[in-house]
Amino acid sequence: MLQRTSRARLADAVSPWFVLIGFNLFCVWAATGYVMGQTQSKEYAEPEWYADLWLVLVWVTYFVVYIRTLARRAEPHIYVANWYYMAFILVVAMLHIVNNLALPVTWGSGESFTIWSGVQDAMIQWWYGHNAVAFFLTAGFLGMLYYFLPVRAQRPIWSYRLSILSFWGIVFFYMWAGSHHLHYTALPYWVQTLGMTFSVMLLVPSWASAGNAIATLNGAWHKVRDDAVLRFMFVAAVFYGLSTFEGSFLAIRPVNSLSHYTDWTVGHVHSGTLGWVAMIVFGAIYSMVPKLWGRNDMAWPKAVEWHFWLAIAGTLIYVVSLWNAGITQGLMWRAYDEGGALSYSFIESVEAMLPYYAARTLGGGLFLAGALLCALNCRATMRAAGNRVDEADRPLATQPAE
Amino acid sequence: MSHETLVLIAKVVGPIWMGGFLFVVLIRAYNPRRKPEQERIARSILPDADAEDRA
Repeated sequence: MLQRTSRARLADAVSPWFVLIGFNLFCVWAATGYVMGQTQSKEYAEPEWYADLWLVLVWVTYFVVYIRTLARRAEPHIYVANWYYMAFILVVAMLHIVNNLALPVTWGSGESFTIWSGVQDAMIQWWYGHNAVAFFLTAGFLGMLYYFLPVRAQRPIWSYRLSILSFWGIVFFYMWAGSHHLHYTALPYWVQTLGMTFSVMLLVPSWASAGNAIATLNGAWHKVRDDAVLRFMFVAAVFYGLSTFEGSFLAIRPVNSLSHYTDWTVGHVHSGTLGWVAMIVFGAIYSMVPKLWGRNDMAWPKAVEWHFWLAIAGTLIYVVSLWNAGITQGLMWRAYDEGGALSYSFIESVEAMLPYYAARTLGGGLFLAGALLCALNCRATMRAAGNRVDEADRPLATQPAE
Repeated sequence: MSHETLVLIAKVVGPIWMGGFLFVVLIRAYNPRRKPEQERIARSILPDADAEDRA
């Protein structure tokens, strides 16, 4: 996308391979750390210092390749999707470095201690954690939405100026929202309130992006009806709107008193990851794979339709069952009898989860079945690669000799 | 600098700086003179945009 929207080749031939292999190596290192009990016990930031330092090296290289490619673009402007990618790379680097500042016990040991202490450690962790949701799990995927949805619908984004405003709104507001993870803790009350306020304000730029995507489809609803790939993107925008509304709602202190530590939070996260992030990724995969392998369409077009309905059914069953599970847990934990004692033991609240977890397994199974179908369809498409050459497709700027 | 002064600066300067920056973005993004350029940018990614540019 960066190359295509900039009409320029990547700035280097070797460093992109370093980023690809290096990032996967980091994942292997992080996963082996879990197995060996080497973690620094920070949510979403478990890997120890040796893996963290390696990731800094990989990520800075990624940023350098990105910026150098952008600098040699043949377009006067930077398309809005590339702003989102830039924010994704830059902010993830910033978050990762600050939250993982730690001193190893010895150079020969995997163990370390964070330099942050007490409640400041908690605040840094959730400044990191919530912005990981914002910039690792949202910004890059909004970049995909702003590119693939207009291209697939063959209509320009409904309001380009609104896309600029919502970009900066998301960048400014998300930075302050992390403290809503620390309601009713030792964190100063005003910091909790600040996080809650900015979380509610976040709804404005989030819905601006979701609304902008949906309004782009005005006049193209027949394509949404007929084309499962575009429907994936439409559903992604709808779930983005739904999950950001839910996120703002859950950040409100009294709501959080019911929802925190329950499966409602888990349901909310899966509404975002399955309904929004995965759906836009499936849309992007089905747009790119035929193009990359010289075909007009996927090898099994009907399987795309099947995948769509499996993904929708799976997500809805999964999320609705966890809403029910979480609210049930929250209500059971805060129920008292006439003498002021807890009405239920913790294990009773676990036993009450059985029907919801069974439904969750079914939902997850349907979603996974759809993803497997997608993988097989991609394999079949690659094996049946065509030799179609689209003469009108000129991704790079015209060279002087031409 | 005392803790209270630092907290006051964080509470006042942070929101003003951020709100001010967003106001500048609002003015620049919604400047009517930028509209034709924005429309061109929005269309630049569409499949037929390359052909139009070359024509």
